[in-house]
Amino acid sequence: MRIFTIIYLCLLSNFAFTQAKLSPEAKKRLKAQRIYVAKYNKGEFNVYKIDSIPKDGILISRGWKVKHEDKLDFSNSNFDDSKWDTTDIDKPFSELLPIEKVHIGWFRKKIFIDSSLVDKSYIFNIMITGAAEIYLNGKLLHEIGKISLDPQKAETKYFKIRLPYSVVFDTFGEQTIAIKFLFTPQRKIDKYQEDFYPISIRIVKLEGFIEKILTKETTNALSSGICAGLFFMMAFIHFFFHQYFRSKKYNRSLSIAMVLFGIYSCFGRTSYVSDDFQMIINIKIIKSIIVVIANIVLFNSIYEFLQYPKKILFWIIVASFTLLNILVFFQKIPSYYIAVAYSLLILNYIFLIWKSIKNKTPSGIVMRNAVIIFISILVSFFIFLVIYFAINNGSSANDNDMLNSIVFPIFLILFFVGPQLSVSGAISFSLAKEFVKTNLSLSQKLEEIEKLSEEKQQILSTQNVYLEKQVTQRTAELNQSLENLKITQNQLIQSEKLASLGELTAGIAHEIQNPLNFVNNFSEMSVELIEELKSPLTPDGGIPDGEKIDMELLDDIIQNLEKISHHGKRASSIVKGMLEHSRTSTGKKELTDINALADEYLRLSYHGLRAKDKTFNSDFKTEFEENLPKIEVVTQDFGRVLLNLINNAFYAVGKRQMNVNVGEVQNLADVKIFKPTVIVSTQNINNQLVIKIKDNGTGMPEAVKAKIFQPFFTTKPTGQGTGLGLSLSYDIIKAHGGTIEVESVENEGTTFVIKLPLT
Amino acid sequence: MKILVVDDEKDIQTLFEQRFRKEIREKLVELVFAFSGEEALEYLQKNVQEAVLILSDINMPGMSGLELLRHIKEDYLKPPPPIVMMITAYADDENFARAKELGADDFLTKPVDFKILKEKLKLN
Repeated sequence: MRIFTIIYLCLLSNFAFTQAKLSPEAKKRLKAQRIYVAKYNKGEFNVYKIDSIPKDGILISRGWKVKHEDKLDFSNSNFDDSKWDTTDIDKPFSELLPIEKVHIGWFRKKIFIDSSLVDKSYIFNIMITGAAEIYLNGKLLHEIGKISLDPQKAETKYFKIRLPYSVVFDTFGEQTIAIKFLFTPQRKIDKYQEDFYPISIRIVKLEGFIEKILTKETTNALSSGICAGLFFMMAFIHFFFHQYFRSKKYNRSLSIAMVLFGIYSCFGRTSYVSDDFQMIINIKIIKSIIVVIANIVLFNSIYEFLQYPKKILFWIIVASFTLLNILVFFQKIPSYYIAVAYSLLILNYIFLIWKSIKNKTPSGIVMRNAVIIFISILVSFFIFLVIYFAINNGSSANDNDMLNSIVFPIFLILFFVGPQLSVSGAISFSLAKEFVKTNLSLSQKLEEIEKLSEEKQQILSTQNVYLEKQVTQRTAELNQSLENLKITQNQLIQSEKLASLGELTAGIAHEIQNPLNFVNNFSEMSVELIEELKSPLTPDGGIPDGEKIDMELLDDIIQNLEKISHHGKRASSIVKGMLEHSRTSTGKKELTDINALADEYLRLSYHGLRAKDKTFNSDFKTEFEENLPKIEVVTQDFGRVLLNLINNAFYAVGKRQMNVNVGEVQNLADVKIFKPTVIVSTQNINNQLVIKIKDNGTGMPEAVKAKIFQPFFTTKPTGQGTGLGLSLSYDIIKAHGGTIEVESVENEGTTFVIKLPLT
Repeated sequence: MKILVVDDEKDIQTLFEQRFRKEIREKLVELVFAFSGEEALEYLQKNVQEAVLILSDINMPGMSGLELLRHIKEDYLKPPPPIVMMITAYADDENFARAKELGADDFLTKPVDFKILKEKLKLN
């Protein structure tokens, strides 16, 4: 307050000095007055001589006499107060004598009024804490509050603004101002503010006073309003951002901080308007709390915005700030510690901003922009000021008014709201930029996608047409392949037949060879026997005496011829069988003796294999059911099945034999003599013909057993088997309404079981 | 001379008995027949010294003629081992070589030319 007073008065005197329109006399007077003012303020006068009242009035606070007693004649002009203590009435209570209890005291001051001031309306501009009665020259001028020692009756006033009380000096010369004052103990008042003082009186001219007050208060209200408005506007903006940009968490915090600051601004100088001491205190409490919370929330939000981790430093500063504020509020420490508290915050802000600008994080860039904005605002404001005063230097009488009412408030607003406004502005700008960028890129992407999808559509449709053509083509190709495959399959089946036929040929040749040998031999034998029979006879067929016809020989000849017939038939049937085998199957079923069929094919197979492989040897047995009924089968097909199974059996035992020979003994039983054996058996079980072809060959593992009936599956080396034998056999047996199964143990043997219904 | 004929075809017996009837009557030859390699070995084991000549078919089920040959030539304890002649329908080099390898004394093809056979035996 003191500083501002000095500034005011300096500026005031400057402008007074530049008032070129004043007369030299007036100038001189003013100069003298200035000197007086200066001297007075230094406390050099007790009696203040007033020639004129300057625009801002004269403060009469120095050199008052005080007495903490109440006597009726203390108001008298003539009372001798030289023995009283001298004091300044606008000293804070804490500097005055400590007040122990409520009591009434008196202040007295003599001033000297020039005749030019007589009978003109003036104003005592009073700021008071307490209750007072103001006497001028012994007459009661005004009563402020109510003085009473009874607390119920007393009415104390507290005003931080100056209240006007009219005064008219009706005589010139010495005036005595006496103030009866109700002193209340400091504890009651000083608890919250240090700078409470009893009373302060300023004499001002009436005209312009109201205006001035109004202007001042209007300006104050306006600036509070502007601050509040700006804060609420920022609160709203950040709330809006919070809704829209959910990801940016700091907006909520900032919004809350702005609301709190706004509320704080709303109070403005309201505390100074009310005269209810308690309400003023309450408002002061609320304002203090709000501003502390607001600052902490703002602090937090800046941390969030800069994405700086809230480490210990953060919490220390928050705690110290709160603590300092509390201590100052309860007057445990002097009030300048508030500046310390705010400095902590500001230093931390500076540190954070510097760090984030250095790191060049996006939020750091926003901060940098905010700082730039704030500095530009300040700079432009200063430039404006400089230009304004350069242009208007000395031309306006309202300059200090303008200072008071416009410049100063704007300064306050700038420093109070400016930083936050800059930050909010920078954040808004960056968010808006982001928003625009996102939108632009989105619409761009959308365009691209649309274009792409058009292209894609086209490509798709051409692809479709192409694919359709391809599909038709491939289908045709596949159909062709299928036809080819069918033909090939038929050819393969035919060649399988031929192959098995080929295998047979050697066997058949052998089979025919034997009977034919007998036919030849017995024929020859028979010729010899007949020769022998003829030898004792005469050329014309007579039997000489003593000679006999050897009946034994005749029997032998008969026997021989029978044998010839038998073997001839045998050869014939073999040939017939071979012919049948080579013919394509008629598919006609005939009653067949399975035992005979099996026997024939067993021998055929054996001899065929022997013909192919000289080292091959195996034992074979038949276990045929006697009187097995004949069964309707397609003889040729069924015969092929038996032949195939028997071939496989001989192959298996042959392989096992080879392993034994080579020394790859799979089964310990082979260490003894391994006798390869194939057994073909027939049985009639439950009206089912059961044919078993059993061998003690190499056997099959499970994996092979599972695939054995699959076409083209063979365990023989390449070129040795078509792999079609068993699959054809399977089909043939199924066609006859029967089943074919296999049992096998690796390295022990295999048994194929065919079951046919006998009905 | 005792001759052991080994062949799975039973009619061989009739043939041989007829062909050698004179010799049999004149007690020049005594014929014994076995219808498998195993049977032949059994006989030989029972009548060790007696068979002088063995005529064996090669292609027989069970023990082949060549097996039999090997057994006779290798296992026969009392030297000299009997003379073994192989008779077979398969007159190819492989069989011939193998028989020779195993110590066959002679090799004949079916159908048997009994004139040649008798000459071989008379010479023996």
